[in-house]
Amino acid sequence: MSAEKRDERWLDQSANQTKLFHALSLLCALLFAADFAIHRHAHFQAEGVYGFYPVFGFAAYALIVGAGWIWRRVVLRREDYYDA
Amino acid sequence: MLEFPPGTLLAVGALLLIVTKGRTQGLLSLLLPVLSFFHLLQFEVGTQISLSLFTYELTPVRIDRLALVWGYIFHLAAFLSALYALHVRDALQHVSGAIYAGTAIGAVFAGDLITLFVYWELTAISSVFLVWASRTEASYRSGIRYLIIQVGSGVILLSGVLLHLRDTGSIAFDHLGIGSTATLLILLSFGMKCAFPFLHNWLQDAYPQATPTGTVFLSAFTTKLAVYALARGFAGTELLVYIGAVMTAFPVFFAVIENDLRRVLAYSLNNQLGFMVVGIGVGSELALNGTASHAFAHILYKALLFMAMGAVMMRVGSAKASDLGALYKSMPYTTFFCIIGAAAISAFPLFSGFVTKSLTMSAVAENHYTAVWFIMLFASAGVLHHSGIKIPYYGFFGHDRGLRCQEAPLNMLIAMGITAFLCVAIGVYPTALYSILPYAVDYQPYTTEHVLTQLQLLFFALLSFSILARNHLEPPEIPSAILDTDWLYRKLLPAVGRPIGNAILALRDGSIAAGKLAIAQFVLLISQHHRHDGLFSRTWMTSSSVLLALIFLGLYAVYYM
Repeated sequence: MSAEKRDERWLDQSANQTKLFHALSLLCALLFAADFAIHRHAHFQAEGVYGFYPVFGFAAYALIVGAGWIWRRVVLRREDYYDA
Repeated sequence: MLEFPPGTLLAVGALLLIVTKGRTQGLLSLLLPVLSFFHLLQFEVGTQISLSLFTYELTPVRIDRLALVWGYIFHLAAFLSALYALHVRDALQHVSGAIYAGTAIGAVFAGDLITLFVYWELTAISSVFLVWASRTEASYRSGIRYLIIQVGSGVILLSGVLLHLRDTGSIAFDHLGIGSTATLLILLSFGMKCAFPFLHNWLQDAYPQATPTGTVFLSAFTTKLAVYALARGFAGTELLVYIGAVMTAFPVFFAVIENDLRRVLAYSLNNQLGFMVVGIGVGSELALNGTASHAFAHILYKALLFMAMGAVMMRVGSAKASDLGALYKSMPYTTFFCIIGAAAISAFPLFSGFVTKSLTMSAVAENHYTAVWFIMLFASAGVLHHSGIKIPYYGFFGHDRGLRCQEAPLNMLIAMGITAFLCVAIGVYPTALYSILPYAVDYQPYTTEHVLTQLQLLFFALLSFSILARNHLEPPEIPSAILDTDWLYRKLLPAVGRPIGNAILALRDGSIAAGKLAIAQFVLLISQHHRHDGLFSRTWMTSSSVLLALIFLGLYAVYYM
């Protein structure tokens, strides 16, 4: 226990993790706002909509993780599945 | 001095590694790729070396700009992999690694299909030893499956080549297209090695079974040789656009739940190949430049990620997410290099993925493959998920399980350091890479718009991850096996085949037993009649003989009267 205590790092404290999360949220807010400041030349109609890339990135990631929860019910087996 | 193919010095020089030991062996393994590289530089672009074998004109050497991109990066990868493996005291791995790299280099400069076939099989056979070098039962079995599929790909290639020769009278390895059975067979062969959907599973099966250093070698050559072969023979084949699009997307859903991080990287490799295959399918100069530059950058960052996982594997004995956590405390340098590799593959601006993948994306947009473009954009978010976040997060951060170990050995750190440096250098100064691409590059990756949209995509995906992780909604890392197409030949085929085989065996055993019984009874019958009291060995009385003669004579008289 004492050995682990000594090895406590900045990142181990949940307050600092929250700080990081807030910093990331702020950065994202700025990036989103920048969409209105810059004129984009979209190849496709949907891509040209304001906020397309932020929303797509956020949703795609959530979709992948969500699909993972479903997919693991189908293809996940015990580790020794092929040895049995 | 020039009259032998590039890569020969490496492949043949590998034999010297058998007879050397320790430091000499290590130095030699580093020196061979360097010498081979300088040998390659002696050739002028446009050089062809031909020779006649029977009635065929073979072209073992053809130097052009397309092949040279692969020639350069294969040499670089061979050197970095050898440096990474410098501490290994196992001649088998050094020798097979060098032969494998050398024959892969030879293959990209093959000007005819017969030469290509020879190198194709040599890479298959030399590389399997990197899997077997783990010397476990699992790696032995996995290696056998790998070998069957790789050699099978070569056999299909040869069949295609022979049919092609009959159809056209040519064995030149130029543009083939999919006009005939012959070229379809060749495409199938390339597709097996390129891990097309449903032909892909050898990759996720074998690579994680190889030694920590062996996987780094493997990740560079086999599949990228296949990408080169596709670019040479099937550029502009529209089918490949759709195959590639599927390849970018489907591994994402396997990578999200896979526990073995080296297997996650194998799925990620599969997804990266998809981007290259799409570029080949589009086939424009921009698209092929995209494929070539992506292959170049990809070999480096993928090797870097496998190096980081290899270091973990070596120090902890496992690369499974369920065994790892908080290793950044013990392996800070490896963590740092891994994050650079993760940023490069995720295509953050200033890293190599950003300046290479976007060439292909632009080509796809220019050619109005709308659906494919959106699939690729989705897959880009997928790359961030499994390679950008999952690998560093579960490998080096995540739950602190109290695991403490040593940092990776110095040679590994130097190899990772150089590779990481190159990932950044290409991203910061893409002109150098652009200048060696097959076609002139008129592309500016660093526009405000491109940088902004990419940052938006990536950071909002990161935000998504943070929110999910903070709410414990990420799938948990648990020891598990994931079913993929290998289930077909590892479970279904044995499950169906074994009863059928058993039935055939039972039928065979049954008919043999029945036959033996019938023969035994026949022999018994014969012997019964020949025993001393049997029908044929009895002594006949004279009266009976006379009676018998009388009966015959009587019958004779009745018949003829």
